[in-house]
Amino acid sequence: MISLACLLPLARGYARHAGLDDDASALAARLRSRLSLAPWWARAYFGAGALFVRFAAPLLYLGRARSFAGLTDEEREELLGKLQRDGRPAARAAFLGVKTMLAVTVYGPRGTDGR
Amino acid sequence: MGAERRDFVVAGSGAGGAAAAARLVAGGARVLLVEEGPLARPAGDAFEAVQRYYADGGLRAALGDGLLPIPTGRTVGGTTTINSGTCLRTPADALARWEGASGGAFSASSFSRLVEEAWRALKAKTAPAETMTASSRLFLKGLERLGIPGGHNLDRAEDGCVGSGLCCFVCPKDAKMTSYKAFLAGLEGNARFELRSGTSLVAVEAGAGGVRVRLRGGAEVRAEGLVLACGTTATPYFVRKFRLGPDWRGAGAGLSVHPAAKVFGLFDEEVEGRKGVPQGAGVVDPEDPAIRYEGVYVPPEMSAMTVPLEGRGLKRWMDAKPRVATFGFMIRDESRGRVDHPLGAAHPVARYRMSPRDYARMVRGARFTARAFLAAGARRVLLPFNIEANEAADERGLAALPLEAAGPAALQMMAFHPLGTCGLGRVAGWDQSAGPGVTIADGSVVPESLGVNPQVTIAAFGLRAAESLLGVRA
Repeated sequence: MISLACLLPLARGYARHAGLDDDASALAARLRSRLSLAPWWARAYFGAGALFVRFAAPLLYLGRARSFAGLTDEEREELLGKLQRDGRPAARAAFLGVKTMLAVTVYGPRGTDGR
Repeated sequence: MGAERRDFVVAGSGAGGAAAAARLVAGGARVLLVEEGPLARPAGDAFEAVQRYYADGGLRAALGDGLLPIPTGRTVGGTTTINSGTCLRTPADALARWEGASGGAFSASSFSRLVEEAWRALKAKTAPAETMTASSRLFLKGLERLGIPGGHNLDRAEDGCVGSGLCCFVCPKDAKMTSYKAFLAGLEGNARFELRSGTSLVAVEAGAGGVRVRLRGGAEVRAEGLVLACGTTATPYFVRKFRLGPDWRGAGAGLSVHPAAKVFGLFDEEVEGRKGVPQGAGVVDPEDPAIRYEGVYVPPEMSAMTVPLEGRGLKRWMDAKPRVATFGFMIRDESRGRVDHPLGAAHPVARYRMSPRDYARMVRGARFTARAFLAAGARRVLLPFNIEANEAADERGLAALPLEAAGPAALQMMAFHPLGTCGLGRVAGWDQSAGPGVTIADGSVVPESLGVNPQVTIAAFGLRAAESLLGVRA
């Protein structure tokens, strides 16, 4: 699943940043399960959002030509805050979908099928 | 294969369509009711329910100041299957305005009779005190401590509710009186009625001799009339595309959305927001009746996405979730947007910008709710604004939050009651007609922002549409 490949590294980084000590394979299973419920266009949207956060957002919001994974802890915190607070429609659209998937996977109930 | 024949086709099984179909069948008509979505079953969890039964998986939103999510149902029962079930009658002042504006073509007293009929069909009743969530109890306690009267239990469409807390995600006890349960379930086995789910309207030809509709998959149906009840965001597509009625060009404009948001309150005690009826209590703002406060609860798997924080701040509130109460507010909006369909009926593009007055009301609603939580003993409150300073630990801190300057784009809000895109007297006639053979019976005909949960009003419009069609037949 292409969207899974786009989202999983971000989900891992997001969970680590939140201090959630998550088993990588369990996180991947939950993310796959959540993504499988969405139609193809929504998965594409989530995947595109993940690529935006991972690669474009650090440059656009912090001026740092690094991926999300390559940022320092404080830079990640700053970036996430700026993404959350950017109310412009394009920015909200870019972040809202991927946040939906990250939030439900990382903060939702544990269990291999998200239940 | 030739076209099928019915007396009426009803497109959409939400509050209006279901009521219209049931009344038409009761009046002796043969009715085909088509519904795009499936019959809802309790899902694994809230997220799964959203993916299966919300239009566009819950991702439908209006563009404007920011992005305003507008969750609507895509299932048998329409949005009544995924709403909170709250029932409120059409405001009397609205009925009076419609009667005046219509020159008497719309009768307030007749409509009130239909509202009562819808109320009975929905088995609307006051939520018992024992089903109140802790969040609602805390909010009411806060009102009492502030000396603000008027807090009350809300009326709801339910039959056997035990407070599972999942009204918006398909009631696991099948206790919510959705429009399916209220109007359609009793028609199973009736030879004059067919519910065809998983299909949708594709084309309409209407004239004085009747209508010819084409459904997805190619089936064609000829009928005396079509009741369009596809919902506020979809019905205007058909009105414009097929030029239904003399005022078809105006379809899509006039969108009101009833913007809503919620406040989080962190308490010392366990709140367990899930236990009970999420929207069991409410109050009207004592100084501005355009603002209503109603309970809200979002299950854990969905709640993180509704918190106006990220990173460590989000984690802090999510860790504290067992002690976090939530309560919501919504406003009768004067702002108006529009819906267009460059991508077809299934994916409307809505636009909506909030007026300064509406924004001021949202700020007031947020502060009022937060004050109630602080008065009830909240250690901290979190307001629905995506700004750095959106938390407060006391009244002083709350007063200092720069909410007025934040602007509508900063609001973390949603809109659950889109109305008005084919408003009576503007697009639809005052008899709900959109040209010969076509009647509209969904939220799109409501000609103004109601300021109350609209399912009873929309059901009444469904009954009214059917009565009018049966009267013409007679």
